[in-house]
Amino acid sequence: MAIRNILKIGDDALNKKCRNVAKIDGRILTLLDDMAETMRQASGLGLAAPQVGVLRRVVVIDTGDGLIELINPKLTETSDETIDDIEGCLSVPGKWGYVVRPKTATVRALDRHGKEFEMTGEGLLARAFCHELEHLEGNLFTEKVSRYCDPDEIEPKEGSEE
Amino acid sequence: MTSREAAVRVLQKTEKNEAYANSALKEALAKAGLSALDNAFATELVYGVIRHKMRIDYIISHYSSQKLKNLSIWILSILRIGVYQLLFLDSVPSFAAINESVKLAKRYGHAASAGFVNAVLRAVSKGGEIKIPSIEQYYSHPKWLVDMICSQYPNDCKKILAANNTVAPITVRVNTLKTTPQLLCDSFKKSGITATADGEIITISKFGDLSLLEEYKNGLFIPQDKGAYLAAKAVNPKPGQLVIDVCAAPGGKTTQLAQMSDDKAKVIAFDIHPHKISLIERNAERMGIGSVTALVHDAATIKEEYVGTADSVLADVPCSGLGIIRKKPDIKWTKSPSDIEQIIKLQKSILAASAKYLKKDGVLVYSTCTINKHENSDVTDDFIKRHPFEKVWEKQLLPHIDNCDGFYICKLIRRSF
Repeated sequence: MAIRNILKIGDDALNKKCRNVAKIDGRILTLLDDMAETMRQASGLGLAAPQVGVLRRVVVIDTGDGLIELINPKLTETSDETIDDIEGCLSVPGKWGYVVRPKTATVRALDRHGKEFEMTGEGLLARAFCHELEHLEGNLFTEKVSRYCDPDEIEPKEGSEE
Repeated sequence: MTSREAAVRVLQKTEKNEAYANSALKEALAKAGLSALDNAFATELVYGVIRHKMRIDYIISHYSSQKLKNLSIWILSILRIGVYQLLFLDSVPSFAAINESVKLAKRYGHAASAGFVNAVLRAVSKGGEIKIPSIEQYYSHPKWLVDMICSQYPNDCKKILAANNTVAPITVRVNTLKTTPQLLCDSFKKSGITATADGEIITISKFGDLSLLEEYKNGLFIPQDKGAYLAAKAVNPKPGQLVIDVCAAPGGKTTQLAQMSDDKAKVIAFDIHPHKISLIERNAERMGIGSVTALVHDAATIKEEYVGTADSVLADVPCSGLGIIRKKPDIKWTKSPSDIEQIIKLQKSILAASAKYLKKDGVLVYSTCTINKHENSDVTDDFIKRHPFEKVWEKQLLPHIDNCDGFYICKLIRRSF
């Protein structure tokens, strides 16, 4: 296992659509292991393969209830009910913003053994699913931020209210 | 007892480190039974002397035939209020400032001390302000504090020192569960109190004990600084959430957290001192707040039943208080660098313990009423090195810029994907 370098905003790889994994071989398994280690080392709650420069549809998530590995994930269902809350991105250090996300989201994906499974997340996990799957489309959360989080949230500057 | 005598009694007590200025003053005024105007004058003398003590002492030593250290604390305090009236107050005629101090010297010293006080104060009155050689003496801050402020704020150093010697405005927070800023301002104005609202914070002209006001008894406000208000605002609790205020007394921020959630969050308030728990409860009750539960608990230790349960935690930790020197000028003379070393250790333990209460996506807000970076950004930097949190933002409020206490506020979360 190895810690990989997390790419930062501005890097082309973060804007590219990722390809499906055709075969779960040793390289993909190593990628999964490295991504999990990289995510933990960075204190992240999730990481998508393009964030380490690999344009494949691979995601790891750990929001506190154990490691989730997703290969070729698809969102199959999202709730109409939404939550507007703060999120950040390991590829966009130092920036935090409010993003509206569905309260619950269901993904269908392959596990590391190639077995298909479905999983529903609520709150933070639903947010993680949505955030990571957008990475696979080449999109960053900055495109969805309604307002950035800074000291103005407690004291809006005059004239800067949107 | 006159207001000057009350002031001298308080000053000799604080000089001997027997009491904090605010509590000694409260006690002395209660005993003296003076008019509101005299109370205000005694307060002005006590705080004025404490604010400008080094500068006043330099002036006394310049005009005095005797060394300051050879004077009794009584005579020194009597001289200090005399010099303060002569050089810092425009409203007191010189003869009154001198004669009243001489009278006190007769009472609290001997015949010779009265003559000495008379001579020194006449010389000050005649000679006036003199050139004050050092920045410490000019701004009346101990050297360690000047060094600290100037090294941490090289561009704002003198502005901060000067602002520390100004009088803070009196501010209260509107209880929006019961009234509106506009209605409360109107109510103050009807009682002849000038009131200006800035959002939920109202600056008022009222001097003295605010708890005697009808508006206070009816729970329409709570005394609060804008810096403290902004710290609690950073928490932003929602209805239904669990929020823990780990160092809560007297409950200004606690009641605000409840208020912000429309009294629909569950607000747990810890404080280490049992007698302060009732203070929090009384404030909540007076303000018609039902969502607060106050518990005796030392914030540096972990209360197991709340681990992993909170949506947000406010850690408004004990600190050196170097951001509230305007309100408590004796902090300049009572705090020492070694006190601060101790307090930083406590701050780190409280922040680490506070983080344990959070759910995995919880929000942690750390705040202090100091401008000392070692207690602020250094503590939060150290925390994020050891814990899987990141700073969303941090802000240092400064009295001369923000016209509120020198609060530090840092919002921390663990939510990067």
